[in-house]
Amino acid sequence: MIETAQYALMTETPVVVALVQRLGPSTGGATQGAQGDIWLAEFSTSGGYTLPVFSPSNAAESFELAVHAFNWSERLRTPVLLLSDKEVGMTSEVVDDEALQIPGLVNRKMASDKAPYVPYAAQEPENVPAFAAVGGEIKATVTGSAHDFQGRLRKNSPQVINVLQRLQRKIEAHAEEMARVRPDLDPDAHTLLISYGVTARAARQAVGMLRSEGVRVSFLQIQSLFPIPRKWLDWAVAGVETVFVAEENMTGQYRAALTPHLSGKQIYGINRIGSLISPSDIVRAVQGVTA
Amino acid sequence: MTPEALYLSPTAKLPYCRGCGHSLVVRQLSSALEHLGLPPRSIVLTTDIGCVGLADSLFPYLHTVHTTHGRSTAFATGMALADSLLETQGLKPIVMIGDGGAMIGLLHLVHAAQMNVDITVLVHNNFMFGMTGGQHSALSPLNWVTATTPDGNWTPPLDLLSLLRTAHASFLARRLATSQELASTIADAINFPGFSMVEIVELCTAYGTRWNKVNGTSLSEIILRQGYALGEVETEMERPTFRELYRHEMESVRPKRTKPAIPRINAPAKLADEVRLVLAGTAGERVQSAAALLCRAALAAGLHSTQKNDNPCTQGSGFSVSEICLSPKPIEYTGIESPDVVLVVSEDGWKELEANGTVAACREETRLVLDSQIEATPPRGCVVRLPLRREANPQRAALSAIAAWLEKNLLLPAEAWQAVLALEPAERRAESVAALEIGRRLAS
Repeated sequence: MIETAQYALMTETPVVVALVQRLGPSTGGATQGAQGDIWLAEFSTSGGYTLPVFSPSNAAESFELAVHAFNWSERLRTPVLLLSDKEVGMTSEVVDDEALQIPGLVNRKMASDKAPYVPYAAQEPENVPAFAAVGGEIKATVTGSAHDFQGRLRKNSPQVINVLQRLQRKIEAHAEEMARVRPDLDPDAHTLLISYGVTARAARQAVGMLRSEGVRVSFLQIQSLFPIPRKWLDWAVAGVETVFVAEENMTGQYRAALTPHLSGKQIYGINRIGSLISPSDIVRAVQGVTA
Repeated sequence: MTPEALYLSPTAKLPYCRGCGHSLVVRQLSSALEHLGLPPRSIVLTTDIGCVGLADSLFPYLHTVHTTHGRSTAFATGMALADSLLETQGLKPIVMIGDGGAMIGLLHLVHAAQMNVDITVLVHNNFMFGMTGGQHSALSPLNWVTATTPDGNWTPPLDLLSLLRTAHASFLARRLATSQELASTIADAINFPGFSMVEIVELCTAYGTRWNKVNGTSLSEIILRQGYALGEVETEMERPTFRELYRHEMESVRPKRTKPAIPRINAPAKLADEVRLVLAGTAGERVQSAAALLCRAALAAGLHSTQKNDNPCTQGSGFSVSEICLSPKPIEYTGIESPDVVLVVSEDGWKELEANGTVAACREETRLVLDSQIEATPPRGCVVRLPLRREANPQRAALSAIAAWLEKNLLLPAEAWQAVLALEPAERRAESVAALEIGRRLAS
């Protein structure tokens, strides 16, 4: 996956990769879920480019986020990851298809033969060049090697650096627009629980249990893991002193990615491997700190 | 524009080392394209990693795709498939790959030959990885000196033609890069409908000629010493191409029947709070199918449901477990911390529930329905033992267990079962009806 995902990044080929996580490392555990591929998914490129990552927590979100993933891959001509896991991917559940929030479809901008075509040049640094299909009337030049605006292999060319920087800037420039979260905030809470994917379901249930016991707690389910939805995060942590991040991995991979954006907060991980994190696990962890 | 100007630029400065066979191949490819007179936009030159990958910029009017190492054949196959599926009819992928790349992506070559996709692969065989420093490849001849076989190669080289012959390749040829017939062989390969491969034998003048004693006749001697034929073209005209096969198959494909929607009935389920249930048995005995039928019936009665299945990776042996949650409200957490109901229809299932902690997680109020053959006694819970396997048979036991549990709860109205059973194929429906009736009878 890594070599070809990077090829898609470099060639600006729209592609969606559905990564259904299971217990690792290596062949890992068959039919055992996990959320242990966060770093693998996001930090797999040479050069540290941002790959947009969407993480659904149920069947309905899998459908909706898949459409978003395709739309962004088309619009920005970039690989996008749909990061699911065994529990989300293999659990059958009732979906109300009339309640699905399906966005309109976005297609890539196609090259026109009315002007000379430059395959890897964009007018603005955050823009995306038009697409010329192999087999069409406009010559397509596709290469995964460092290239100039024309797609020629070059060293020491400012155009090469321009192209490489644009691959990142086009993602960053649309980060806020790409952000997708499901917040359930209590304006008077000093505790925020963050989760994603299948663990967000246990977290949402745990929030209900905590509130029924009088605990003030806010909840933020993050669906667009990367780029990190900074504005939503800043909004959710306003007035908060303690942040919990619940995820089914050993070391708190997403917590580590969020930590630089949570300065001044007490940050705790709720982690487990080998089985689902339960609502009771989360309740105990939160009560253990806040009681 | 003159025909030759459409292909290799007349002013092109070839980037290869002096004496390198790649220069000859590029010129002969251009001659072949000129001879065929194919529109440049109907060709996609698909280049691999290595010195062969520098050919892209030499052909300014062709579509060019410079790929990852060894994968150029896979990219070309994908483009040929897309061309067949989209019926754009006319895109011709030509792959330029070295012997190193051909080995990295050997299965892509085999697969393309098997599928008979309309692509032409030019394998530049100079017996080594050139660009990376002259390392040994699987096509290096015996005793060939490379960076990684400094005392000469010990392992016999792979005969690419023989290998692809076994993969049913339709067009195979081997030529020296210096051959006068190379351009016409390449033209024949490109013109051939279906998969074609030309192995072009040449020398790497950066490393091959530096480390090995070779002269003007060495190349053909090396090839003949390996027992390979040179210059012969093998073709199989009878095989349909992928494009032809695809069209033929599509003519006989019927549109997929969509699964009928599960109807909502007017008699809602009598469920005030959620129920978390574990159904366990033996793989292959329709445990998970029975669970799915329960979930569908619950849906018909207006409930939400989730179903998580587990079984050993062998699929058809050992245990089979379904964890089900039924609820009048949308379900968040899909796991089971402590089950409300446990239905076990075989020893395999019971042992798994002991191993995964389900038995230990039972409460006093947990209701358990166990097959009579299960001897173990749960530490907690309200246990009912029924001869499910004996009375219903092992294939029906899981559904009978569900019916036995429901008989005491009346949670789902009969109409819900009728609604989902009506959607089953007739033979399956009869089995399910029998299983449900046996379960109800045993419980009552």
